[in-house]
This record gives sequence, C-alpha cells and structure tokens, in this order.
Amino acid sequence: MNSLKFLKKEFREILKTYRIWVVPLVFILFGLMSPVATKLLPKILEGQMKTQNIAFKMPTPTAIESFSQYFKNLSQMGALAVILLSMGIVSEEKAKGTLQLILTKPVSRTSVIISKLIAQSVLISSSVLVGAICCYFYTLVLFNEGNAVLFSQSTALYVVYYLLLIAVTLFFSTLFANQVAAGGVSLIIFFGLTILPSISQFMAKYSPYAVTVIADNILKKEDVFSKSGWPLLVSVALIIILLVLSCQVFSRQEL
Amino acid sequence: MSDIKNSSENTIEIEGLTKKFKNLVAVDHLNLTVKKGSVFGFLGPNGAGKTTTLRLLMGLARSTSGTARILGRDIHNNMLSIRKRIGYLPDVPALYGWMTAKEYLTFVGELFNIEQSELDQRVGSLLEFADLRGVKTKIGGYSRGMKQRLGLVQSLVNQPEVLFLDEPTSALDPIGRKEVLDMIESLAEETTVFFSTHILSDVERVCDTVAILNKGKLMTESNLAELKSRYAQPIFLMEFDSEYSAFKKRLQGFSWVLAIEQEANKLKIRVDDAKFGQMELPRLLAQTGVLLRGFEIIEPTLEEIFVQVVEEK
Repeated sequence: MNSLKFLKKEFREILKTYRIWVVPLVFILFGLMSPVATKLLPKILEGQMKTQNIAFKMPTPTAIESFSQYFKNLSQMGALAVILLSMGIVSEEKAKGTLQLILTKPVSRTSVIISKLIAQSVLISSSVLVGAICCYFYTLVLFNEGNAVLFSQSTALYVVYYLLLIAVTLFFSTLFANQVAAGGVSLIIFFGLTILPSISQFMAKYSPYAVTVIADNILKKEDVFSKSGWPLLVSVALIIILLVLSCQVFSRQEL
Repeated sequence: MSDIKNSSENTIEIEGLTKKFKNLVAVDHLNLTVKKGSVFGFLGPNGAGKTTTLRLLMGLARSTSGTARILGRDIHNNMLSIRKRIGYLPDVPALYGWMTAKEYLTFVGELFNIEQSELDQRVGSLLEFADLRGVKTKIGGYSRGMKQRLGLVQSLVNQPEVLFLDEPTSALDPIGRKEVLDMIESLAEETTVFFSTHILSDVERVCDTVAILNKGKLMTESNLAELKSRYAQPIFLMEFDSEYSAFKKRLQGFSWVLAIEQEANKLKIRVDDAKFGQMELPRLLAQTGVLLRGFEIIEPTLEEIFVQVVEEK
C-alpha cells in the first residue's frame, strides 16, 4: 500500500523536524497559561485598584472559569495557530519541488492529500490533547476542582472544529502554490466561520463554529453534549467535502 | 494515436505532443521516437521546451494535444504503471533535507514496494555508486554535486528500463559534471537514457542519438554520426610552406567555396561538397605552385552543427 508509505513519511517528517516540538508546545502553553491567568487576574486587578485607592473586590475565580478561559484561547489564538501551522502542508512541498519528484514514483495524488490530512490531524489533535491534560491538571492544582467529563466533552468538540480548520487550510494549501496565500484565505474563511452563528438562529444551531459556544455551555452545565449533534455533523460533512475537493484540485494540477 | 506503432524496439514514442501556455507554445507538435537501449540526447537552447516536454512525459503537466507512449503504454491512461518502470531526475532535484541519503533512497524504494532485504542491498550499492556511502549528514547540508549524484541514484532505485534526465550536469562544476557523466555512461548498457541538455560536449560524450529542439519545435532527430555527416560542411585546414595569396585569390572565384579563414600560414576553407573539395583543392594547389606542409579535414563540432540547424530552420 503506497498510500501508507507516504503516510509513514509524513509521520517521520513530523518526528524529525521542529513540528514535533513546536506544535505541542503551543497548546501546552495555552493549557498552562489559562489557569494561571484566571487565578492571578483578580489579584492583579485588585492590586492596581488599591494603588488608586479604589475599593474593589473580584469574585473568587473557579475551575469553570479557568476551563472557559482555556477554550476562549483555543477558539481564537489556537485556531490561528492551527491555520498557520497547516498552511504549508501541500503548498510548501509544491514550492520546493519535493512533491514533484515523489509524484514521478508510483504514488497516487489522492494518497498524498489523504496522508497529509491524516498526519496533520493526528499532530494537532494529540497536541490539543496534551495541552488539555496540562490545563486540566494545573486547574486541579490551582483550584482544587474540575469536572473531567465535561472538560473532555468540550475538548472533543474543539478537536472536531480544528479538524475542519485543517481541512479548510489543506484545501487552500493545495489550491495555491504559495503558503502565505493559502494561510491568508484560510484566515478569511475562519473569520467568516466565527461570524456565522451571529447571523441567524439557523446558523447558530447548524454552523460549525456553534460547537465553541456549546463547549463553553457544557462547562457551565447550560448545555449537554448531544446539543452539538448538528454542528458536528455539518463539520464532518464539510471535512469530507473539502477533502474530496482537495483531491480533485490536486489531481488536475500541473506541478 | 493509432498511427503510433507499438514497436518493442521503441521505448518512447511521441506524436504531435503540444503544450500551449497563454501566449506561448512551449512544445509544438513534437514527434519523436527513442529506440530501446539508446542514450538519447535531447538538445536545445535554454527555453526551447525541453523541461516542459519532460514534465509532460512524467505526467507532471498535461498536454494541450498529442500523445506519447512510454514502454508501449499511453501516458495519459497508464502513468502509475509506467512510473514503476522508469526513473526521473529533474534539473534541480528537490530532496527532503531532513532525511539522510540512505533514508531517502529507502523511502523511494518503499514507494516501489521493493522487498526489504533486496532494498537494503540496492540502497547500499547505490550509495556506493554515488560515492555517498558513509555520509551521515542530512541532505539539507549537501553540496550541489552531492545532491545531483543522490538525485541520479534515487532515479535508479527501481532499476528503471528508461531513465529521464533533465539537464543533469548544467549546474555542476567540471569535476561534478565528469562524475555524473561517468555514472550515465556506465548505465547506458542496461537502460534507455533520455537526456535533456544544452551542453553539447556532454551529448558528444555520452549520447548515440540526438534530437534538436528550438522554440518548442523539433529541428532534427538523428544518429549522432549521421547528423555530423548530414550537416557537416567540411572544413579543410591547409598549411603552407610558401607564399599562398595566389592560391587564396583563385579559391575566392569558386561558388563551391563557402568561406575562407586565414590564420598565419594556414587557411581554413569551408566547402559545400566534401568529396569535391577533397579532389579539387590539391589540384588547384598544384596549378598555383604553392608548397603545402599539411592538409587536414576537420570534423565539425556539435556546436557548429547545432548553430547551423537552429539558424537554418
């Protein structure tokens, strides 16, 4: 199975280059920063107010707020990181010419695209998982509480949302020869996705970005995981459509 | 397509292959046949369409019209199966800089599903062949010559029946060029080599058949020796022991004398018919009484033929 040989190369590339360190590190930072910021922010604000002789008392922060802060970071900076880390997955190899040489061997273009999507998805998902574990246990340490089940459910929703962002970026990375162009257009699509739920009730229920709202509500016990069914289904459908489109575009592309 | 005869003697058969970009015809109705076992020199100045032709044959670009067969199979429908039996070296081989040479060759071998023990053996001998055995550095740290040698051996991992080389020596220093040409020469017995270049001396050294491409069009295609005799406007070099202006003046009156170049006590005389010149020049010399020291027929260089072919058409 030549498709597996190319997938093996993708994983070896991840292990042998900076990506194996940088990508998990980004999400570990998010995981560690959020509990600390949530814990310290009231004290910092109170301290500043005290110097200005203003009486100010912030409510004691909770583990839910720590998790909520973490997911807020994931929905913005995390999403940007996913796009920036994925924008070169096809276009960089096209620009360098490494793919052209490999594609003169018995390797199908479809297997190249599928391998790229799988490898990047595994890398990002496992990095999110490591970051989430850091966040959960650091929150436990700082706040002495934390609902592992609800936190896991919200994390799972973000993983699916990131897989969609990877598929979007993969498509534009396949379409364009330049990774900056691929990243730029993917960012525009990302901003579009974030706006969709505020457009109408329909979009709020079905659009992929709704999972981020549901993830936050799950933590606050305002929603249950099953509420995310439609946006998850739409996300998975979009991932499949984008994958098929990427394969189609790549198979017709001149290299 | 039906006109192309699937002859087992022909490894590559190209018919009417055309590639148009917006305002440019990069390859213009190219017809070409490469015989099995030959080292085929695909010559042309920069921008002639050589790389585009190779990219079309490799399936990296799509032709506007026309077709081609490699090893009897149509490239438009059988590219995956053709790729199992061919090797390709692009003009600038882009290899994974994070791999070592051994890792890269092993990866390529895996793509061809070569059995592990066989692959280990092949990788070892190819590293030896490329003089890269024992080099532990990652490819990213290689010199241009090392990359080119590795690029060449990566195209040999599957022991290809046809090898496509795109300007394999153009960016190398004289030592690197010699090394790569030596490698190509040693392959010639077992493999059909399709070798694109603009360096004529390389062609003269390793190729037996030549096609000349200019502005996307095929100018000529022939056996190298035939090409030389066909396009050769022989040059006679005559060296004199006495004053020879009378002889020179005499020659200038004949239409079969195309050009005369004077160098100290020598004359370089270009004629339109070699045999006629060979008979007439000594006769005329005897008539003018000039003393001759030396008489030599100079073979035209490929450079001269190339310029002549390109200018003529």
